[in-house]
Amino acid sequence: MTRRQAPALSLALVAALVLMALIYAGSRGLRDFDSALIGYAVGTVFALSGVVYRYTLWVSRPPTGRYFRAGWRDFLSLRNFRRYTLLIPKAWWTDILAQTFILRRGLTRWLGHMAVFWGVVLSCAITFPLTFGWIRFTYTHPDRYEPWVFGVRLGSFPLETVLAWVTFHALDFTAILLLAGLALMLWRRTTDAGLLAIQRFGFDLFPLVLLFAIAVTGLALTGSSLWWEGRYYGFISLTHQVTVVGWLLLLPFGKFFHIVERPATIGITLYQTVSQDIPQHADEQATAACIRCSTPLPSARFVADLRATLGDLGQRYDLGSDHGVLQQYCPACKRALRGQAYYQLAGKRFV
Amino acid sequence: MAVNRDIFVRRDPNYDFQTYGPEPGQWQQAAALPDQLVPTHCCFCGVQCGMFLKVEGGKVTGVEAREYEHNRGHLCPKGVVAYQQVDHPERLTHPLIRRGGKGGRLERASWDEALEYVVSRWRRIQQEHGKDAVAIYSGSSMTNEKCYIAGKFARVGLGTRHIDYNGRLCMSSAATAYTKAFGLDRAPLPMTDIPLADSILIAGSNVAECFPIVTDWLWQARDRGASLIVLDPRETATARTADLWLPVRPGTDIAVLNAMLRILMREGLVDEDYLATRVNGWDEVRAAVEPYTPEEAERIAGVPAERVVAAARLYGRAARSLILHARGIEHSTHGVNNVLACINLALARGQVGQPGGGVAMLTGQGNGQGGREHGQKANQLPGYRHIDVPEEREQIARVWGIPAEDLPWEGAAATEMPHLMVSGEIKSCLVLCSNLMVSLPDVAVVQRALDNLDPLVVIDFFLSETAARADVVLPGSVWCEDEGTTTNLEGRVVKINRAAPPPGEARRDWEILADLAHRLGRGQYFPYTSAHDIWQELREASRGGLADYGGITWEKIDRQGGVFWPCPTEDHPGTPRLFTERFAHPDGRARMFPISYTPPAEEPSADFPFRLTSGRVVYHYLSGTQTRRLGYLNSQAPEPWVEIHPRAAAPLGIADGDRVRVRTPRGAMELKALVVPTIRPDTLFIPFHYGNKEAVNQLTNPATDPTVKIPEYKACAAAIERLDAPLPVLAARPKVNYTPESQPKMFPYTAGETKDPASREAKRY
Amino acid sequence: MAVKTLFVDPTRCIGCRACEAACRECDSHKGESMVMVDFVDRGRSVATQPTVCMHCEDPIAPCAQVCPAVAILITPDGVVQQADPSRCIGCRNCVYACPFGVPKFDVGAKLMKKCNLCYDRTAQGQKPWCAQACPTQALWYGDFEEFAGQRRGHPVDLTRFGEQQVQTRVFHVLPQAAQWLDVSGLLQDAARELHGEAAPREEAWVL
Repeated sequence: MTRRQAPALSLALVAALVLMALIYAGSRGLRDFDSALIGYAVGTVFALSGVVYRYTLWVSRPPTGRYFRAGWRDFLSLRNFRRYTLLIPKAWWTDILAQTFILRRGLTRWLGHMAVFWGVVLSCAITFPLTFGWIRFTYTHPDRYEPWVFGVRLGSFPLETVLAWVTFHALDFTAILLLAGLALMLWRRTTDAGLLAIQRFGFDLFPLVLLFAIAVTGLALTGSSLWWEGRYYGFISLTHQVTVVGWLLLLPFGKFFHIVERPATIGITLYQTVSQDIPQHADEQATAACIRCSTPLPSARFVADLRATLGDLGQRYDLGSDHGVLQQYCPACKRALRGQAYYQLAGKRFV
Repeated sequence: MAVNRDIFVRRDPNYDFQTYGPEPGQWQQAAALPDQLVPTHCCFCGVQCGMFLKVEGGKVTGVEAREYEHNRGHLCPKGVVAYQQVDHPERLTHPLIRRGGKGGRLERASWDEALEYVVSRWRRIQQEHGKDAVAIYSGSSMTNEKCYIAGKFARVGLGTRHIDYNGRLCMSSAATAYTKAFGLDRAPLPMTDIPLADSILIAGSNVAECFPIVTDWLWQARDRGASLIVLDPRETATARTADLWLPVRPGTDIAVLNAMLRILMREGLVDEDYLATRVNGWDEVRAAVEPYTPEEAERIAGVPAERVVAAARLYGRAARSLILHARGIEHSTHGVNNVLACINLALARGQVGQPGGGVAMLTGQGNGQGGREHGQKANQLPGYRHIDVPEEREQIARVWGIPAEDLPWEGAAATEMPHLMVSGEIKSCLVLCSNLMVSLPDVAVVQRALDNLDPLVVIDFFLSETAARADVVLPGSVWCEDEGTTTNLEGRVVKINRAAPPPGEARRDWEILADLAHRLGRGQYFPYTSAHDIWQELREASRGGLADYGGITWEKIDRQGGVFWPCPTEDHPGTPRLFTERFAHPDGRARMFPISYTPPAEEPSADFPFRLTSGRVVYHYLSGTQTRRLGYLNSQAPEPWVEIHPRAAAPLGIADGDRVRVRTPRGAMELKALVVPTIRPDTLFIPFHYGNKEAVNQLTNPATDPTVKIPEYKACAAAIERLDAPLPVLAARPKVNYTPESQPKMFPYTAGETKDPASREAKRY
Repeated sequence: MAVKTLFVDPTRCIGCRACEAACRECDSHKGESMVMVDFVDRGRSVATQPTVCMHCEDPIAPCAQVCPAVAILITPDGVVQQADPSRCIGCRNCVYACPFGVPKFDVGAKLMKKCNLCYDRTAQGQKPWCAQACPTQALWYGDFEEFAGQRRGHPVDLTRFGEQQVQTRVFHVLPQAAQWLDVSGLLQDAARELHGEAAPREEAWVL
């Protein structure tokens, strides 16, 4: 166990304990806990501690940590809040909710991803509280349901209404949304020559297959109770549970970790906006432009932080005399510098 | 400090994606898996690189490397994006006709309307003004089959003597020089022989930009230790790493070449045995080069005498030496002599006919070689036969099934046609595969000539600058929408395969010509149902000629990876190396011609202190009709510029990137200055691929070589100034050596003047 | 050593940008070139050089090391891949950390893109598009022994920036035997020459 792993493990343990406490409290001392769903709950606890463990390790990497700390510092500044009030909501919209940057990567890609994203997120938002016992419906005579949320009863509603129907079939809708998205993505992955050439089964295809299995088995549960008089219900339920738990356990490690990582872009956006506006590192030669061609660089703070990060990694690209450090150049000038060095050696010779 | 982005256009290559070329959506569509790879060759330049086209659902979606002997799977940027012409949004998909007459708009028309109109006009013109009042101006960036049918259509379909092609602007001086010296016009060795050479002299060719694929063979020779000498006024990418760069004044190459030959003589580097047994005329040449001392070469050509001596030794001491030459020396009023001076050097060293040795022309156009063999040249019939030679007329008349008397005589050269159009002798012209408004010198005259035609008919697949002035535009096909053969700069006949149908109502060019012939009532001579039918007739017609394709079949081309002509019989493997035993003259010996330096037609004066030369950039092909429409290529060189040395620019107050005015006696144009030390300080360079106000041919001199009528694109007198400089003095004059008054007689010559055997020899080009 | 890799020889480069055009043909990034051809200094020479990802081995991929999102993965055989689209968070650390100026950044798509050594093509036994097309073979693909057998020049896989040394999977071909391409040292030599410490060169022409 390394020095980085110990705190991560502890945090993961704490997170698991907190979640279990919350499950206990939210299910009125396990009275509302549906023991049939225990597999999901246990899987989620493991998934959470895995995510916390992985996340802690992740942000303790030098480059990530630097952004993590700076991002939160920028976020928690009242002055920044006043200056960039709309920046965070806007970033939530472009980076998380609407994912407009994916639109720039391709339309089908965006449509597919939006459908899968919302399908998964909404399903989780429904499933987790249900399996923790945080939401529960009790049946009262003659035809009314009473929803309980975190141990508190929130009125009641009649059984034979659209609202009730929609509530009970919410997961079916999210599953259909998910399937639509998966169809688009699988279609891309089976017809696009570029994707076909470079995709890897474990990282690119298996997650889609897994989500597909979850959505199909979930829908089959509804199908079984509605049309097949409950036949195969036990088997389908078990399969569904296995696939979901599998997905939960994969969350911290495979492709799906990007769900947890993605909000970091908001921090990055904030960091970059703030650093461009305020020259915070006045002690540095505060130019945020390439020292050869004056093309703007992201910001002086960015360059300083990047150099520090490289320093943490034991790398220093100092060109000596008045040539400065490589990171003070734009990419094109870095190439030109190397070219000039090469031609200093080669002159007009042919090899 | 110069910032190393692209020369003028400041793009951001780090952040900028998908700005050029097809829209992202089109790329997406193109990302589907291809269901077929069609083997074919590139449509650009004389190298004719092998390539595969990816085809999916009947659409050409991309390109893939094809291992072919001479390009080994490599492609230049033009080759990579060539396929994007196929579904290009600017393709012409239906005929256009200018119903309102000159000044009206080009409007959509049906094929029937367009062709009927053309045929009815032609009938009337030919009735009223004679058959020769309708001309054909053709090109060689198309298959042999199309070139052949263009010539036949003129002589049999229209019965006009006036057909010539854009190879006149390109290969005519080299072709004539080779015919004069060797009796046969073809590069005598395959590209794959280049690495066998120990010393390579490149005269007037920026191989790196014009023939990128040939560069690999040069570099292979250098990997083996060969030396490289480059004769060029600019320090091009080819010259940059050369062992010796001879920065010659434009138009003065003969002084250097002759001085080199004189040094070879002095230092005993001449192969006397070879000269005695295989060459005629050495004594005259020996005497002729005597005045060209290295100092004299330095005085005339501006190349330091030591460099000339060094070049002669480097070249002369190599066991195997090769000279490659191209338009740099050929685009000249003494283009034939320039080439003959190169040939003299190679013959004096006894190199011609040796593997990897001798002299070779670098043919520029896609089918520049094949296009000049099959009878679309003013004086030529298929198989490199001469139209004024009775027995050769008989042979072709027999193949075509017409009486020999019906064959017209030699007509006007391409560079002469504009003058005949201005004078009204030519009333209508069919232009195919050419963009005269960009490619001919002195654009002002060309424009007047074209506007004087009624109708000007253009077959093209894009609306070129010439097509935009036409009265009728007929949509043709790009190369991979038809099949056929081309002959590359080695003389290798290769097979172009069809990958897609022409878009919309567009048709294959030979179908259009055959249809016109039918409508002219000459359909019985054009009974073709496929390009293969034309090919079979071409083979028959060329049989027994100098360029004998008789033994070449499409199957054999596929089997052998191309066939080198001459190939007289089906069991003949073709002839990659020429002149190994004997030359093609009847006595089997090569001929040397004594060459003296003559200055270019126009030279600098106080009013026009610079020499202006023009040339290519790697991203564009010829008049740019195709490449300026291909986003990637055009983005690299979207406009012309003028290269000028800092030492010349400084006194004129011109800085890098400034817009400047370049003037010659014929006109002025504005463009950006590229101030770089890689050009002689007394020389300006402008790339020629651009149209309208960007065409360098607004400035160039229309003076031509007296025998082959190739224009002097590469040297004229010019002035350059800042835009805010005072306007030019009206009386400004260059030094003129050669005026329209003093130059040899232009067309018409008397028909049949070549009938006597002596002049028949003289006219064999 | 049968590892196939790229050999970059700028002395052969003619600046035709066939590599850029060809790179754009790759199915996985159609229309976008990951190869760059730059004039070294057009104000002095027509010299150009191509830049492909050098696939740094030691220190291993600085771009990947500075990536906060662990988006840049390295294959077991040492090919540094472009950012995984699902992970890249668009911080541009890689773009500015790279000592060779390789990664490109697509602002709109918040995605770093770079050369993958065409693993889609190489997996099928084809050459990377750039080396396949390159008319002068300034970009050459193959293994070290093959190179030594066919070509002149001295391949080195070490580049030095001051004290920092980078060992790469891709080779630079130098015209003379040397341990490494010493960028900082050579730049200082160049600066000394530029400031008049070297003798003026003889003019190539007579006016």
